[in-house]
Amino acid sequence: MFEPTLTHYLILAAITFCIGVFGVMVRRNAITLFMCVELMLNSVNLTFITFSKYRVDMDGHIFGFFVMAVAAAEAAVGLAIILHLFRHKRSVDVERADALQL
Amino acid sequence: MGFWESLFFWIFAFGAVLSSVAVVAMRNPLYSALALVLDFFFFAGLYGLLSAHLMAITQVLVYAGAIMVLFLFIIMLLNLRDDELGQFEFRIHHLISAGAIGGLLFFVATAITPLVDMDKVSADREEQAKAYEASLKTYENNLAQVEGETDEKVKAEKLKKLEASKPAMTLQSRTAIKGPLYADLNESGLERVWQERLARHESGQTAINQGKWSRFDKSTPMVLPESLSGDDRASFGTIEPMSILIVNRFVVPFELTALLLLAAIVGAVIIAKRRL
Repeated sequence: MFEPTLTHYLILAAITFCIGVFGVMVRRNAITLFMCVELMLNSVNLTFITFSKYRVDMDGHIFGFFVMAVAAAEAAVGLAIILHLFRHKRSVDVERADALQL
Repeated sequence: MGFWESLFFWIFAFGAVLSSVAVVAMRNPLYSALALVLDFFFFAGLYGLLSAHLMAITQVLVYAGAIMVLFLFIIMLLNLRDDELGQFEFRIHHLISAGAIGGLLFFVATAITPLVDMDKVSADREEQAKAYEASLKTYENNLAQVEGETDEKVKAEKLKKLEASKPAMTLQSRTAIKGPLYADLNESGLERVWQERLARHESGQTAINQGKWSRFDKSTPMVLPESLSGDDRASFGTIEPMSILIVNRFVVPFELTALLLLAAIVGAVIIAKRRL
């Protein structure tokens, strides 16, 4: 029970992923929303690396590496969009960006 | 797993969960960002425990360093007033849907546990290791017999035959014999590919660096890196096998990532600029 196994790591990744999902659903501040997405990406990375060690195979590390690169690109573009949103609406509340809402 | 590893796992795990909660719960995004930096450090510690050394360092450098600085920069730039922060909207259907997704994930995480029964896995490893050692012993006995042969021609023939029946290690037996934590890149195909290439080169069929994705300097033949050639268990997760994998098997995704980053830079500039 005390020693971490594969299941411990997977459950930890699931918990942090769920906290991220919860944040995306509950928060309305676009910047915090983005941070919750980063949280989810990180917990997925943890799963990859856990399985990588379990399988004694380094492919999971490579995938995590690419996830980090994509997260960097996503953060750059996303924050530019938030900046633009703020200029238009004078707010980063995602509920105010409702031009496409029915 | 020693005592200290277990202890650090629990410290990092609780820290990661608590700081994740802080990211969601903080009203001011500045505090959220700082909690996220802390979270990334805890995750880096977990990666280190999983012997993913390079990933741990990259986590700190890229995530906690570069990406979070970008976040903090935007937060400072926007300089949000209190009424612009956005409300913490707590509706019951949010809770239900988050709970449903969380429950599903929990179910998946716990449901695969019997599928990866570690006792069964290690028993399988032990069994295969025993089988390997037994077949190796038979092979060595046969080899000793053949060595005693007087007729040179018959001896060469028998040696050739014997060579074909030399037992090979599987992933399971290798793990059992040499220990669970090392870069077993043999089984992930990299070294096998190189061995095949070397064999083809030695038999004069092709140039050594002739392959589908290799674009190396044709004048200097690539040799197998020392660390991959055997039981170098310390190299798992370090920069050397990682870089070898990236520039060999994953070279196309790697280049595509470079392209993606370029596109992201251009896109970010175009979106954020007031007037082009």
